[in-house]
Amino acid sequence: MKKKKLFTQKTVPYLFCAPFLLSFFIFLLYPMLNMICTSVFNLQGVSTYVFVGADHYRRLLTDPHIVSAVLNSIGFTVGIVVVNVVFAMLLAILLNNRLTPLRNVFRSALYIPALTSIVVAGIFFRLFFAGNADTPLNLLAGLFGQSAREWLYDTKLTGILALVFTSTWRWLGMNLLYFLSGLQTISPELYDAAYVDGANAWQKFRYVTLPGLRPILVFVITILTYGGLRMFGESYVLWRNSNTPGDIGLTIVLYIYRTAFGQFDMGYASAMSVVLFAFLMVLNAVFIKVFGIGKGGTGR
Amino acid sequence: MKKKTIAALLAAALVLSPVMGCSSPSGESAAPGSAAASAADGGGDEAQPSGEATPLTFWTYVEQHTEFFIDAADTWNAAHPDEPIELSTETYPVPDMHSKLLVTLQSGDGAPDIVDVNVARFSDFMQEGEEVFVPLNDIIEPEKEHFLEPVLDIYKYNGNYYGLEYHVGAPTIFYNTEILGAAGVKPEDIVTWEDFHEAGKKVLEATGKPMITFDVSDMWQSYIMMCMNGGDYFDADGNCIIDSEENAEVLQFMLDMLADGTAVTTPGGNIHTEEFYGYMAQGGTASLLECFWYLNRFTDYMTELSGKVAVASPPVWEEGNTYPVFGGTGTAITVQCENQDLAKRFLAEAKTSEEGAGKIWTVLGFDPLRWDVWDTDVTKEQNKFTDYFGEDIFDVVLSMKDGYQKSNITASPKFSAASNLVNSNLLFQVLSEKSASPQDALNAIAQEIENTQ
Repeated sequence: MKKKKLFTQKTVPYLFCAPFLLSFFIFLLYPMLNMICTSVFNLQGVSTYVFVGADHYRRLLTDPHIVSAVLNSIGFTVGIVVVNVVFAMLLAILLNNRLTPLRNVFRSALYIPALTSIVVAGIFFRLFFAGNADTPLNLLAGLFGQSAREWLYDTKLTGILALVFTSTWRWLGMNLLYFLSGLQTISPELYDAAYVDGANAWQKFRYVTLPGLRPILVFVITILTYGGLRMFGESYVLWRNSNTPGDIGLTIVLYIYRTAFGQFDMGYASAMSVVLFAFLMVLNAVFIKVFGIGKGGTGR
Repeated sequence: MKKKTIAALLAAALVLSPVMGCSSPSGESAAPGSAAASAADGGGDEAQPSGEATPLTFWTYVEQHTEFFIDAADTWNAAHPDEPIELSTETYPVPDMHSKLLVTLQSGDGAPDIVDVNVARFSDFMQEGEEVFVPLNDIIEPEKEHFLEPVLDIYKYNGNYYGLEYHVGAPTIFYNTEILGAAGVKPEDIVTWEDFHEAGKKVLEATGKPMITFDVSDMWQSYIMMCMNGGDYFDADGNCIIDSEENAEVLQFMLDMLADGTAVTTPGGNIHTEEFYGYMAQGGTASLLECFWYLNRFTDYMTELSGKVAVASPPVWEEGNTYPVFGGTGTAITVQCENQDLAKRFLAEAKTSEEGAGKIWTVLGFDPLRWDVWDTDVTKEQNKFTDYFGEDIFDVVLSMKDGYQKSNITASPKFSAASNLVNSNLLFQVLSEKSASPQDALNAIAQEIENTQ
């Protein structure tokens, strides 16, 4: 009798969901609640937590590095969204065209960087952007009469450009793949109909391709935005560990990492994480509203 | 029914798997990417341990320290066959090791027996009311007279020694004799920083090369110069004095050298980068300022300069200047160690014995804390360092012996915050961006350190 009760139609789904729910509670929900709790305490020594109330949140308002980190993260996010959407979409259209020679070779070649580790790519690009006169970039700049410069230690703009370049190199192929798959779902009949209606290439792109790619566009913009705002690896590797001079490559997550693990200032790092989380949630709501995600019928 | 049982078992396995994953006994398995090594069986027939080996764990963030301790364990097992040890070592990146250590000390379980702690992070673990490391007085005090006390004192809190250094970390300047020769400058003629600047002008004129490079993302070089000028980040009581006039004077001196081209900012941000190794190896600059341990960077990464580098004590600001010493890594025994007495005796033999001190030179290429080995045959034996720099390398360390002073690197738990700010902001703002005057930048940093809790 007991056995029968345990495996009823009602209980079994819960049992099957239990692994996920348990993992979620233990590895995600608990650390999150703990983070909120830690944000109002200050760690002194190894395990003494002293209650400090909203002090950490007040400190956030006057911390000059927060401004740099937020500006860098937003600059980087805007950069990768624009570059990865425009370039990936144009390349996808080009590689989707039957007349493009060697298109399968290019598809594979552009995807390969996505398979490399960020550490390997980061070390390569760190040397690529180095200030020595014989680095590839400085040699290239020399051809245009520019003198050698330390691209990673120059200005915030060159820093962000270096981050966008490195990140685009790695992820362009992946985004290209998304757009290619999107393009292949657009029915050829729509192009035929547009042709019959006398549409030119631009009109075909504007009224057939672009609406057809809308779901993919929303998806790519969303993942790029969140990826950009929580970017850590590129910055950590390009400037070695977490010291980016003059906050040139300091991103929000890198600053949280540096505060938590470089200085054991767990309370302040938690406060920053709570604010970042709240900001991302608000952004989430905006995205849902603007793009109409989850409403169904978002099709063309 | 059978299907239901299987489904239930599978579900139960899935439910338990994440939890089971967490419960493996600590220390039993090495973390991914870590190097686990056993040193219990070393030493050949004579060294075969007869008793049951006591397991000891050792964490570090420097691969070479692992080699040193494995060698020390072999030596221990050969000398104490009735009391062998089985040493497991794990190497992690610097931040990972320290945060892992913090978590294990917080949770009261899983910490290693013996651990290397970076000198700039040591004070993070040493705060009032908590003792996470074992006092090492009983192994240090009997040998104290042979040691350079300022380095021992770095890890001294309330009269107890909680860590034991590997090396003195004597400030040292390395000259490219080929470049100096081309400008007719002799290293021995450079006594003060003013002489150094003047020599720089000659070098620049004759060769077009800078005399030195200044780091913009690493504090140690400027820290040496600041401490030599009577400055520091904190005083002995842990009060922030980073905005002192002495520190500002040093930054101003660096700015002056940058202004006339006798110095440039270091390619790659600091002298521990591939960019700089290549630059230095190709004769990019006439000198570099670091600590004695930098010898191995030359032998490993700049082989082109073999026989062309002179080792000297750094120039002084004025006669009678002292040289700051701050070691680099303190080895500590955690309170979670179950065999504290054995671990202490092992550590003593590895580092405080004469033989151990000799190995610090022969295995690691560092200047050992035990000054009585500096002038013995051990330091004169031919090795890759003597081949590269000549036989009298230790004369430099000896010449500074009475001038060493303890730096206040472990006086405040805010030191790691201060070093982060210097590495990431101060030097770049002042030396590279030139967006703030030395004094203004130092004042801003002092304010920020004050705000750090």
